[in-house]
Amino acid sequence: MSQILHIFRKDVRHHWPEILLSLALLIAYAVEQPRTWTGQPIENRFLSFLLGFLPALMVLSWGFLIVRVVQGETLVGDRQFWVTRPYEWPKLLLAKLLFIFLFFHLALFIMQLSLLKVARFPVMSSIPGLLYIHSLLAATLVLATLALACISSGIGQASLSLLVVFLSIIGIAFLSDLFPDSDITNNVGAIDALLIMTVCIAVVLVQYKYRKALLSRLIVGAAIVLILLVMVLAPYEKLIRHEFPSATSSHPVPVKFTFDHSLSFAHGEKPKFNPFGDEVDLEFPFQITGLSDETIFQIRAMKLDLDLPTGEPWTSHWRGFYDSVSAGRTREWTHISMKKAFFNRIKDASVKAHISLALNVFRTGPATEIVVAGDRVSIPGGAWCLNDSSENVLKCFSALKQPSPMFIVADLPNSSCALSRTSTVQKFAAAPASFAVLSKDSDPDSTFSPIQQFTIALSRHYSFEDLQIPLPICVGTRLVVSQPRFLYAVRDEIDLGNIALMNYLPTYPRLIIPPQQPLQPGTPTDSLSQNFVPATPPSGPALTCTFARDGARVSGRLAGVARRAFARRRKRVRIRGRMWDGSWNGS
Amino acid sequence: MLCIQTQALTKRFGRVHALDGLDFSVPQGAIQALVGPNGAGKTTLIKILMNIFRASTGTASVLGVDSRKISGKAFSSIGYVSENQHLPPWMRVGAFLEYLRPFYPTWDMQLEAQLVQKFDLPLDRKLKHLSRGMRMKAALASALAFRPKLIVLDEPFSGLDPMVRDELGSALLERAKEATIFLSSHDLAEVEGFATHVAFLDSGRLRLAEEMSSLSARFREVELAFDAPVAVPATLPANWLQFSASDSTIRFVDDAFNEETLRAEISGHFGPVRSATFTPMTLRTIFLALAKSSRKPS
Repeated sequence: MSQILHIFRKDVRHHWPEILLSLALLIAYAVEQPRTWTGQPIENRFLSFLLGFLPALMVLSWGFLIVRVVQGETLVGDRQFWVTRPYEWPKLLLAKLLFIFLFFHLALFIMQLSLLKVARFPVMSSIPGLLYIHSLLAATLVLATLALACISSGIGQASLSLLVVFLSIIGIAFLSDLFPDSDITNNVGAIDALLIMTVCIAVVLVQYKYRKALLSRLIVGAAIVLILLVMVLAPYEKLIRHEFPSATSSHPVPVKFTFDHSLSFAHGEKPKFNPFGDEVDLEFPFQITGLSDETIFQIRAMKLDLDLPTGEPWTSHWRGFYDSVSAGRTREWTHISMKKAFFNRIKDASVKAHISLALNVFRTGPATEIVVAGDRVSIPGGAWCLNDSSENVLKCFSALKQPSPMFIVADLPNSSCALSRTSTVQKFAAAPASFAVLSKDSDPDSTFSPIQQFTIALSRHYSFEDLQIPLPICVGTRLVVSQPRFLYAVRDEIDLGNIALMNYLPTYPRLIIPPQQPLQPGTPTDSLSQNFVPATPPSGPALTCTFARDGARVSGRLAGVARRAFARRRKRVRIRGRMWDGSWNGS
Repeated sequence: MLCIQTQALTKRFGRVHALDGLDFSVPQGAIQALVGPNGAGKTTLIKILMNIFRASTGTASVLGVDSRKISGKAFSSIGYVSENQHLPPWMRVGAFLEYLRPFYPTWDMQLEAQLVQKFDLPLDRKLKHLSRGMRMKAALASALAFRPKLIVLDEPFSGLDPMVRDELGSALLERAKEATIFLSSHDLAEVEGFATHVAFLDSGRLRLAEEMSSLSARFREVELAFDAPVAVPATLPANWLQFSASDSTIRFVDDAFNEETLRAEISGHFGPVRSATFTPMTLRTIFLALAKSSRKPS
């Protein structure tokens, strides 16, 4: 123990500038974070620009600190004085880990606790989650940096090694585009993570025990090759079929998907090609029936298989989708992309199509009704939100993790809420405005700040359910919040029969046949028609506000500062760093 | 008791044989000099002994411990100094000695103070600001202050001025009473002053290893003068190195000198000699003779 502390003390004495730098950045981050919650702007543009880089600078300072402290007793080369001194390698390693623990983990942990306290979240109950975050940080950021520092003999070499690793990651990410299925299954990612972790641990131990830099670098190189091999050779189809098995009587597909042959995009309109990409995005309409009120599901991924006229098969492979479907929905438009050149070759041919859907099924569970009142709203699941009247959304905060799964439906009131900048002439679908986050993962998010920020924004589908628009939340909005429970994953297989792909290429302007009935502005369409947004702005006297200070005067017509001040019923506002007294005219 | 022992020690760097089947030992209490030209394998041998390099084949032991297991506490009794060792540049000399103290249970503060005084070490100066000689002295002080059983020095005098060499040499001699010293050098004159044993390494092979006294006794420069030119026989004794004959004079180096035997051999090969001189050789001339000779010494 004494040797550990002795080396540790030496490192602290030597690396105090790096320690001070990393602590200063951490403190700056802790001071800066609460400002980002309220969205207060910073007048000084340079400072604002600099603060935007704060998280990156923190990571760099930690990386620099870890590399420097490890390389205080460099493990590469044969001329280091300490190699022929009575250093015991486990104690040397422990001294370095103690340093990293105190000046990275403990410092960050204290900052996180203070942020939780400032944000008025329970501190003690958050500690297990924070410990989980730190174990993840140790297994990723710290371990990888430690391994990198162990196989390099200076900051220059470490930067070069980092560049090699970075380029490898870019290469792997580029190659992973060739294997779209790899995004769907977590198993391959878990294997990769385990492999990287094992390799990092092996490199650290080999270097501290044997100082064989060449062997360690070969291990890293072999790991990169192995990751590539896993990516190329993984049996994705099998893994996804295992993760999303076929329906059984106990785990049925929660709805019946029927391909809607009656809908297609209008021929003769200009097809909506992406001029910058080499892919086209096709949309296939399905009718949904039989979804119970208590069930909500997520379409996690989908796959399109075609039998071409030539007899050869084609598959899109599994593609991530992430669409949530709840009671009231009657349609689902599934999207799939394919190469433009391939599409052009077969677009008008009759092809036999088959779609596979991977679904995560949830039960909605008991609901809580909350009415948005004032500035601050508490959400079940331990989150609280600020009513951002300028954006008509709830800006929410939670400790460690966004409450998930979460499902919110809203019966929007006929109030000032109905004021919207967006107008429409389409009917709304029957399903109410909603917001859903469906995730099976209940682990805390591995980020530096323990305060997770997320936005609750309501949206509602139009009658054909191919598009949805955002709808406002404001004072008086009733939100029905439930925390669904994951039940099971299941796969559905749907035969589309013979189709011409051209019919499912969206057009610009978007025109679906048979055509929709245009809606007269202001006409209610259903029981939730308060959601309907009139095309014309409300008439009546304009509401203006005027702020004055020292004889100077600024005015606004419900715009910018004035609008925000009005929403908060404020008589004093800060404009360009100075306080102004205000007065209101109109109603 | 042997302090260092190697058996069939080989080290390859790719196709290069840095050490080639080395059998070598250093007795306890000796001041063993390992000499040889640049690239002979001296540093490689020392680095294998210090477990900095791994041998390709063969074994080596230091203080009775397999060199592959020399690490950590084993260095509590080994003081190692190398000409190109990297000391922590940011540390001051005093802080460096202070930092190393707790690593050694046998660290002698009094001896440390003596060494600091003897070497005139500036304790408040950073190691990176020291001259090469001063840095070597600081390294040597840190390697001697814990009274190691074995002191291993790799080219300790290389590039140092005579005054510093003298200071280092005398400090080593003071420690020789209680430690075995193993040092490599290509400066033969320096080694000759205080080494008790010497080994000659050339192209990874041990050409010679013996006590200095026996080596000095064994080698003689021989000069023979005759009244008239003599015929040189086709075969000469294997222990006659660098044989040359001009007019009525013959010169060679005898590496197994015994005056009685040599006189008999000379008489047998050349007949009566007008004069014969047998000059003792310096270490430098012995090794030059060995290096230049293609014949293996006996």
